[in-house]
Amino acid sequence: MSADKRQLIWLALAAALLAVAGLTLEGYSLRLLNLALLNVITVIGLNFAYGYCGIIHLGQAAFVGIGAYVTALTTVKLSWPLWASVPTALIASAVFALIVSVPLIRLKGHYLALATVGVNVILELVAKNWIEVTNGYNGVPGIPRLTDAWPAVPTEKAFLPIVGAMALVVIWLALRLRHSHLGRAMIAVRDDETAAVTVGIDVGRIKVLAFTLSGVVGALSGVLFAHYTGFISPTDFAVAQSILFLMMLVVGGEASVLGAILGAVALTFLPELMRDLAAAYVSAGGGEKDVIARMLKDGYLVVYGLITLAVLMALPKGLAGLITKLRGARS
Amino acid sequence: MSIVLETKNLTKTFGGLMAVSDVSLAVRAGEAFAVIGPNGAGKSTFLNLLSGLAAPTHGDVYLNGVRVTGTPAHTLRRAGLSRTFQNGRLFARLTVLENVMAGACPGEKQDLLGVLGARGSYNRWQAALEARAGDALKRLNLWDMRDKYVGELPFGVQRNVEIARALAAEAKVVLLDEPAAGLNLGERVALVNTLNDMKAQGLAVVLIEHDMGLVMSWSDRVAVLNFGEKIAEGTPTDIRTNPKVIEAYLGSEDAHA
Repeated sequence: MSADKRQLIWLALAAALLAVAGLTLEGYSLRLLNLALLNVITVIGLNFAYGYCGIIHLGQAAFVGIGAYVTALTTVKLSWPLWASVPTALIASAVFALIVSVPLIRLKGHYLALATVGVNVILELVAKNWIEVTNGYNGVPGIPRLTDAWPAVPTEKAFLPIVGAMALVVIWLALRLRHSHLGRAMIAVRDDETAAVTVGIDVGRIKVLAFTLSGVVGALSGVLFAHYTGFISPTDFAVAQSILFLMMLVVGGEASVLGAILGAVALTFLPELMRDLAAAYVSAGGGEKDVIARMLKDGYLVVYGLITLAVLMALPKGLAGLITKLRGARS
Repeated sequence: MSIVLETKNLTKTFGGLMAVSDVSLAVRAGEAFAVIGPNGAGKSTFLNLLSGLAAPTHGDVYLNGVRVTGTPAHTLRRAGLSRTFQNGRLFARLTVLENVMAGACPGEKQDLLGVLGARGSYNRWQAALEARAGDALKRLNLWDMRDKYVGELPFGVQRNVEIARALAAEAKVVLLDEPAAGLNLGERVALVNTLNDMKAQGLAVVLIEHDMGLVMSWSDRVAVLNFGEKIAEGTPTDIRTNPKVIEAYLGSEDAHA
């Protein structure tokens, strides 16, 4: 069987799984699944810049934010229809990514990483302080929802097929890109820039492409987020969020679409899992206010950090690498 | 035969150090040209100047008669000049086949829409690319290893992958930086066969090598660098008996006194 056909079968399986989840899950669990799928899209985007091309990108939330804010502001303040606001948001993010990537890619390593943090901080400050346009800290309420067309269906349920389909399309496109000359070029650039140049790869162009693709895919996630929750505010797109996206990619397995998916899903559900554990701990006789209960309830960032460290030390290829290893051991 | 690669007064200084000084030479199609010299003679810098990885301080490089001084390396590759590296520089996270494919499409314009849109023309282009890379792999007996990652391969095989990558798309000049270093006897014999193959195909091959046996038996012409200067050029026989060359390698009698 060809690799393409195998991929389509996996994607069909994933679609079936999502359909079952949509029919059986309710309320908050469904909301988490929707958020996980949004994160899958964002982190697959990030994988182009960081996973493939090696650009340490700590500003992905800024691009999610551009997508969300452009579509939110044009629909709410200018009453644009979605067919106009959504493409505008995606194009705006692409243009912005193109413009900032040209100076950014001249930097290397830590300097580049710091510059991406800078981009995120600047946009966060703009969103917080350009009050006439962005409403500042108050955020933008009343964004039309994609699910408004089905008022009888709960929002969470109606949104799942939309975000699920988008995630599957993004996964399929990302896999296709990985196995194209552009995907190979991105990986070649990260592995050995000098060698990449001498095989005819225009390194600058490939880096700009990877960074821009990251931004646009992130913005797509932001657009969906805005029209899902109906409300956005600057804290949704803070640097901390960018760091979280990078953690998802590292934990799942950088340079792998599967890794991006696993990491985004695992770290989206983890806080919830911990809250369940906290409840179980309390009902088993643990004190509600003691260290363990509070740690389980609110300490998920600490756990994220520990997991990331553990993965970096023990599983440099992340969860996806672990799966490959286990499959290799079995066969 | 026509001159494919030529340098005129090529010079490179690093601060006060003359790494390459006023080197002029010409390499023809189908010619095996070796550049030798003691350690630190400027051979690798010379190769970097030829391949566009470094810009000369003075002088010019011509490819097929066109001045290409200062042209970026990736553009030179697209114009038919390819190279390998002394320590082998493969892409560790690509398979053997992908490594060669990465080098097999210089200059061909295929856009993002073709990739994402699943266009038939893109799929056909990619299949042709794979076939071209496959041919290069078969020529170097690497076809069976196409799906392995390069890290899993022995050193000698990795060097062959690099040569396959350099050959995969219409190269006219191939620059090889010490291809015999670290190879065992069997691998050396295979390397000579590969080199002869390239020559027979009309490629201009520039070889930097320390293995004098290989240089003297295989090359048509030899240039000798010492302290960045070309001190001799000629057939292997000329070079072997050239007093300046002997002095550069063995030191002058005064130095031993």
